[in-house]
Amino acid sequence: MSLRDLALVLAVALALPAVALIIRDAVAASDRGGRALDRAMHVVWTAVPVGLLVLLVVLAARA
Amino acid sequence: MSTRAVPAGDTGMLSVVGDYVRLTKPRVISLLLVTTAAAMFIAEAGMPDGWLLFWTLVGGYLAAGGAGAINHYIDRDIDQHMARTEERPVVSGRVSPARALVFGIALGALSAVVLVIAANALAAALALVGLALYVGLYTMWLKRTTFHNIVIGGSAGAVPPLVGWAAVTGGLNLQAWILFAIVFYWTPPHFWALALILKRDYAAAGVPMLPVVRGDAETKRQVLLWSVVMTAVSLLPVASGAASAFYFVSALVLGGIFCALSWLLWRGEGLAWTKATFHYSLLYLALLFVALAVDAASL
Repeated sequence: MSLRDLALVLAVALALPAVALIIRDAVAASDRGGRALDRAMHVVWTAVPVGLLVLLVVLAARA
Repeated sequence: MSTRAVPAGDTGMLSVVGDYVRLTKPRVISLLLVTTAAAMFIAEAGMPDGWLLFWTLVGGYLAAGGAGAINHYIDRDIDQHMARTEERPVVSGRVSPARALVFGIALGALSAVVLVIAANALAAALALVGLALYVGLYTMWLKRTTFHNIVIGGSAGAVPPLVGWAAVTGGLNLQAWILFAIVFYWTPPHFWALALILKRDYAAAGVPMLPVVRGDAETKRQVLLWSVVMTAVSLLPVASGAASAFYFVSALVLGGIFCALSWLLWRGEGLAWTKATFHYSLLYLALLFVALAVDAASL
């Protein structure tokens, strides 16, 4: 396994459980009620960093 | 011990200059400029042109300083309720709100001129985008409406490496965006540690920071989770083939210390580990970018 592969595996192994917990927290928070617009924005603000992370990992793997 | 009498006019002028310098938030900017400079070294894979480095940092300071001054203008209603900010020049009346606003806009415009002349249009545009994100997205909107303010608003603080990269190369590539991401994912654990320390101030001012809205325990848990994500992101330069073993080991050690402190913050009572995590976060970002720059120069 090359250093590059090791870094990619480590990055995914670290990020995956942490992101899963962040998403779970976000889903739980959006179930707590509030205005529909607030709940929608809550989903958007959570999805942006998660989406960016997934995109960067994919692009790094393909580079 | 002797004291030197200083003419009142001199102290008055120094005081005014000091207030305008304070409007630019120089302590915050210094760390942003470290990421700009390091990005330039990484993009160049060595020492960039000295004048380009100097003027890019000047332009970066002007843009970030302009954003800071406009922030002082907009946040004056909040700042007066917080012990940390109640002595700021605008809140205390030493600089009028209108002058702070004009000063901020002027610095932003000057930054664009400096960067267009010394670097290129892309670097100038990115600096203005950073200013707009900080003022419009963070200060005017998210800071006052959601506890996600720091996560999304952190994009403003992540722009300086893009400015540095663009100044050297005239473009942006995956490596530049990874540098952006490192600062972007570093911001939540860094700022939430500070927010834990300043929770009462933010509550008094009605700012919905995470500790105010969700409490200390949940904030500490989020600091730990985002520290782990940040450490994962810090490995992407190696995963993409742009950095080698020196940076890999540096990122693991620096990130490991960050996560360990965040763990202690999460498990501990009181503010001791919170303060340690916050202060270390500043050192972490600077050292990580220096390690990347050293690694790039040796590749």
